[in-house]
Amino acid sequence: MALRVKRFYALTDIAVILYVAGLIGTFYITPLEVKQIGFTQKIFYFHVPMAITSGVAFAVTLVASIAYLLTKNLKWDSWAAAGAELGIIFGVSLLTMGILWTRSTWGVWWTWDPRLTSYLIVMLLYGAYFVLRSSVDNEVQRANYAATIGVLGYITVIFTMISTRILRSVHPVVFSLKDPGVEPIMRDTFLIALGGTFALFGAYLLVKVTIVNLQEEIEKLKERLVK
Amino acid sequence: MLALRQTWAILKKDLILELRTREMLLSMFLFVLLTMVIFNSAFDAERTDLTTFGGGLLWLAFIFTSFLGLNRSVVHEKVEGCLDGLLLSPVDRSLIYVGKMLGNLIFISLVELVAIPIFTIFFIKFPYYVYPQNISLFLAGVFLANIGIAGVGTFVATLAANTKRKDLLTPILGLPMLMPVLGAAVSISGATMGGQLLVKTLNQAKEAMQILVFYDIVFLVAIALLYEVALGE
Repeated sequence: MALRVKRFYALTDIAVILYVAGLIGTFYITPLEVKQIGFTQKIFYFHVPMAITSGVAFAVTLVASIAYLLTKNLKWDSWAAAGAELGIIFGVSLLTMGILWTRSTWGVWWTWDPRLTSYLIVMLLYGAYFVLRSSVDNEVQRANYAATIGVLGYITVIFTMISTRILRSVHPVVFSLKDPGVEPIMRDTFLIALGGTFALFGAYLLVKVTIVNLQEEIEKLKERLVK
Repeated sequence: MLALRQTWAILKKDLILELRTREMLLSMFLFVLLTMVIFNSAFDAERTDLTTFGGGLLWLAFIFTSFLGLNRSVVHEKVEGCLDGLLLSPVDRSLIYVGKMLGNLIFISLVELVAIPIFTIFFIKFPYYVYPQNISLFLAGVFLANIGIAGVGTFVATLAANTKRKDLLTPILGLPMLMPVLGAAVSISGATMGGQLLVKTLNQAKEAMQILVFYDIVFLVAIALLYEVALGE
């Protein structure tokens, strides 16, 4: 336990330092993007890292679900649950940020753009994942059922991303690091913010897994007390 | 050969049960008709041309009707203890899945085949799928989407039946998983049915077809492997 606490503090320290550096970079150092959208482009430095992180979080759920199905070790189930929860947290922050950006740049709060649509579906899907978890009392059964959705859910995510892009008109990549006009400092700021988000994610994940494990321990102790 | 016979036995059981009670087919059929009446009051079909939204409305009616039937198909397995019998029999778990899924596929398709002409008479002034080059695309789209709906739906309904929330959980879990199928099905049906039969939408429909084929294959294989876990022994 002590080791985990140490790791947690190390990760949060890294997150704070990188986030402060990233914010300074975003607002004071990086140049204004002049070609298309101007100042609001600066959302990119934190928005995209959050998108990547929530994708990674759901991938953690996928890998942990597969690991659970193969080993039937409940430890993996807590990792899967933690991953899905963090994916939702980062996803909701991402959507909130995105909505503010859409309002200021496109003039509307919401558009049925492929990216927004697919992310909304993904949020609903993992919301249902938690409804499923809460509807099963037996912890082994809960882990079994949740693991199947953890696997199928990620396949659905991939299909949703592909199909919404093909079936609706594709919205332009607003800003890409591969653009010739992008200065190195912009890339560096982005990478710093990405590192900060990953550190935050790691710290969160550690806490979540610990909490889930402790809850299970409490349940076991309660049962022993009743007996 | 044995696998085929076992699957057929499970499928036959569902077909006979349905032939004797007509429980699912009748309620699904009434439900799909009711949905169409609701479309009329929602969109004032007398004065609005719904052709452009034809594909979307068709699948709106079909998806909810399908879930009605899917829940039923697993619930009576549970209530009458048939599932325990199936689990005790020396049959591979994925064959139970294939048998149940084929049964649901047949029921959903039957209801839809009756509902499509009625829907067309009600809402579509001049359906483009009367042309021979479009009817095959239209029917193939419907059939492939049904495979996806029956495949994912049977799995989710089984999972849900084993939880506290029972059939409440089926649409909540199933609908987001079926979104790619719905999107593809709507664009195929819409293109072959609708007022804007542009080359672009037909090309889109062909791309949608590829998505459906790919989705069906991936999900059927994945679910056949996972079904044992969902049966919850």
